[in-house]
Amino acid sequence: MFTPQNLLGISGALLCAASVGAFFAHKWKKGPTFCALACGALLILFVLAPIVGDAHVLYRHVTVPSLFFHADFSFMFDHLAFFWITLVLLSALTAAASAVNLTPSNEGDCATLAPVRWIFYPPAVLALIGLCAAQDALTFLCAFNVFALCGVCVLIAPISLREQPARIPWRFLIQMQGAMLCFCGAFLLCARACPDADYSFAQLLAAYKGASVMCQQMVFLLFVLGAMLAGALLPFSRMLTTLCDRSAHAVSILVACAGMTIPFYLLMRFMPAFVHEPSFFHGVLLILIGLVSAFFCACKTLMSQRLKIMLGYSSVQNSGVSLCALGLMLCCASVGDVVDTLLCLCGVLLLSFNHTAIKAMLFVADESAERVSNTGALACGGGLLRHGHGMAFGIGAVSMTALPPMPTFAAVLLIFLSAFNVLISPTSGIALQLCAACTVVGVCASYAVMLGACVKMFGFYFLGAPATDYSGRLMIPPRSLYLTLKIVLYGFVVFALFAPLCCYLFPPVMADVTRLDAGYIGAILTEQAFMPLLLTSSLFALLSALSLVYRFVARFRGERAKRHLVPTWNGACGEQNSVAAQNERRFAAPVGEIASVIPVPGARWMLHHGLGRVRLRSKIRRFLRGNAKRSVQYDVLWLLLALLGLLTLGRLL
Amino acid sequence: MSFFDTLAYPFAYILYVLFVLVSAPLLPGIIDCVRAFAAGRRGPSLLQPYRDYYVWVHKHSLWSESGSFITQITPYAVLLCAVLSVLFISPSPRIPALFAFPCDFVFLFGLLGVMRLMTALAALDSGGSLQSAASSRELALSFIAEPLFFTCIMSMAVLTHTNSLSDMAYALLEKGEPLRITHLLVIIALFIILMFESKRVPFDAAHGRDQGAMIQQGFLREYSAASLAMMQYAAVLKMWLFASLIGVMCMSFTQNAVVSLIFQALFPFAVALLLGVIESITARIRLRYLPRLLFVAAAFAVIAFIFACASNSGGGSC
Repeated sequence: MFTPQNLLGISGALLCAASVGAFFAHKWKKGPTFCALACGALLILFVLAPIVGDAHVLYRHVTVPSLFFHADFSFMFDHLAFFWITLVLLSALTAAASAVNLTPSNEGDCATLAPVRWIFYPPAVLALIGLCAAQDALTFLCAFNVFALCGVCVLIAPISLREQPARIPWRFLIQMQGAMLCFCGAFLLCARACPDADYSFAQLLAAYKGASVMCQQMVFLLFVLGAMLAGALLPFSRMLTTLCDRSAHAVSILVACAGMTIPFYLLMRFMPAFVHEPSFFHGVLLILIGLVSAFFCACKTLMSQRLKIMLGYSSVQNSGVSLCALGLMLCCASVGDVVDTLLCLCGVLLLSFNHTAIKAMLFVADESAERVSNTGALACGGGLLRHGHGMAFGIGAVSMTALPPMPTFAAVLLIFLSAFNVLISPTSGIALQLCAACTVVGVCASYAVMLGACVKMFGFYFLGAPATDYSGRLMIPPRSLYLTLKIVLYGFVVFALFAPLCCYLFPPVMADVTRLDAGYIGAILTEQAFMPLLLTSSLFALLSALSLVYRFVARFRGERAKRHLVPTWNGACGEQNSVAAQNERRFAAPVGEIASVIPVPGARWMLHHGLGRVRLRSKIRRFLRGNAKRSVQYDVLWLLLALLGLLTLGRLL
Repeated sequence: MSFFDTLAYPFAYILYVLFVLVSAPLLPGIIDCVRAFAAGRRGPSLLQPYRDYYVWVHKHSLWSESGSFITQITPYAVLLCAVLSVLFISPSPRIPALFAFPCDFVFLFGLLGVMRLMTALAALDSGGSLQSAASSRELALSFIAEPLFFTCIMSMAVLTHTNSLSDMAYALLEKGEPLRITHLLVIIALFIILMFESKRVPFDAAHGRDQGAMIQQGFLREYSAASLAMMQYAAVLKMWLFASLIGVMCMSFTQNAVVSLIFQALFPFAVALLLGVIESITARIRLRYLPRLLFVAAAFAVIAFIFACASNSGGGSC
């Protein structure tokens, strides 16, 4: 009765029911209560599971401690898992350093309950590591469950069932469980193709290769849907941004840096199957999803007015670019282009590493700045660079735009290198060339929009004159936060300086993904990518040296040169430079034009309504949703959850 | 390559770079002369930009009270990027540029992006309304111009089977083909990008001194003296850069290295003449219509790309 498979099925069905219940409970305005009860019950189930079942088997497969006390530690020799565990640890350390500095400033009225959530951080991190360390589907799904549950508990714990942040937990819960059930369905389909296979990844891969074409397509689509849900890709991106905005910085760091990259880990884990059985259609699908997500989330980043929302959307944009590069990689693999396949994969890995480092730095810098200004709204910021809080944020913001000499540029350069190799190759077909061209133009357009977003978030919040008077409510951040920020910043600088080393460090990871020889991969990477990476890091070193010289000179001079007011063209110096006058002009300035001028057909409509708010006003929809203002994606998601729950139960029975 | 060539080509390249750095300020001088001639008046001297730079360099810089160090370092960063950008251009098909490697245009594009970023940030740093508006408009239009630039480069890459600017010039020479429709479409698109990037009419009135000149003059409002000279000089180098890019597309008419070198050195002046004529007969377009012009260029670039792909897959030469 209580075999791991059955327990997994029961927990999946319960979580499905909890998600659907939470969905309706939100309509009844009892969402937080229902979520809290459901999650508490499920946590009790996980705790009691070893007692009621076969303890040995369950500890090995189901519970979180088993991952560390009874699991096979051979994953340490799996370079792909090790790579992702490194990313999780990096973000977890930054999140912990950020959590140490929790104060009522960003906890609102619920600060008294804030320490409760500390209990749930360690299991969440352990579950993330467990996700990477998993060598079988059961462990992966259970770790995913635990991560989702801990995440919900972290979100619910301090809100004391208030109504304001009620949407966050149920959105997070329903999306995570949707992703889990997608992965679960994919694994079950693989297992059904080969009844003798157990749930280890190796056997599932073998089962996938032996499955029918229809089954393979279904498995791939389920993986992609799961990645879209868990990675918060469009149209499911609101979950991440709402979570980033309303929760503490530690949660934002953990979810935005590590949580949403886990689906990409799973995709790469199954890449050998996709690469050895490459399908051009799969690649095109990934490119389309990635491009739409990257471009429109870049536009959303530009349109947002709060820093943390902008950071959340930029994470989704980054994920979109990664997915797009993975799609191009599949397309290249489908025509047997090994070199460009490897270049794309290297670009994605470098982009993932960059994303973790940059977002950790940005969130900590944002926390530091918000401590000073006591606000995260762009309209209330300004002038914070003078407080010495802007440099880390500025470097991170520039990195988001993939401009040289930042390491993100090196990653994007590898993707471009691959795309242009495809374009100029005489053997590439017209379809592959179009895919590469779409990738180039789409990635370029999304980063062009991100340039505007970077200027907006950094320029509005840190430059110019303060829009509000900080002096009355100035809060000095603790020294530990400064220390964290410095460590993260210097870590980023070191990483940027040694970016060319990825040509020697990534081949084992890429060998796990592609099943090619690591030496061969290293030779190709050294030949193709080493020089551009070296040039980028050399420029970064030059820039760092120049900044050091600038600081040295500034310190040597003792004080900055005396400034003079600029005689303005109408001669009104005093009026021109008064804070109130500047603010009035600055915010009356048509920065909104950046978005309003975008003449992409449908872009303005998308920006105002969003993909997720398409309202179909048919009678059936009205009947299903009543008068509640809900979006279609959750209706679709609800149906999918029901189907996948049925699938899980069907497997169970 | 003979021993003489081995020595001569680097020497020629150095001479070319020096020539570019020295003669680039002539471009706005030529444009102003043509405009004055068309208006029937006596315009400023061709050397007027040099005189302006001389005067500005000998003045003392004034800095806005509300500005941070970003305002101060921006002229240096912009000038550095502009000078580095020039080093990506091959003066002749036989003479590769100093920075010639696979996907070097991505790096060039990145440097232009850094210039755009720094100027936009510096504009916001000052806190003025005109600067903010200039920053906003520059970024709004760059959303279209940047992918457009890449589409043009893609077309040339597909046509020449190379992914480096220097190799493109060489491949065009090796093919020895006359200008084809694809080339012409790419050149038209690049010329429209040039007008946008160098802030000339109809996108902007770089010579204007009033509020109507919203982009270039908006960026320069907070700068004076040497900083202003650096910003102006960087803008001129950028214009030379795009003119040279167009020149690269047209260099396939001769196999002679010296002739192509002279052609590449003089071609930007021809472009300046054309710009002067355009500025004489047209006015600045309203902001809301500017994206349409860029979309026309995008249409040219996309058609060029389709032609390039078609000819690449054996669909005949377009």
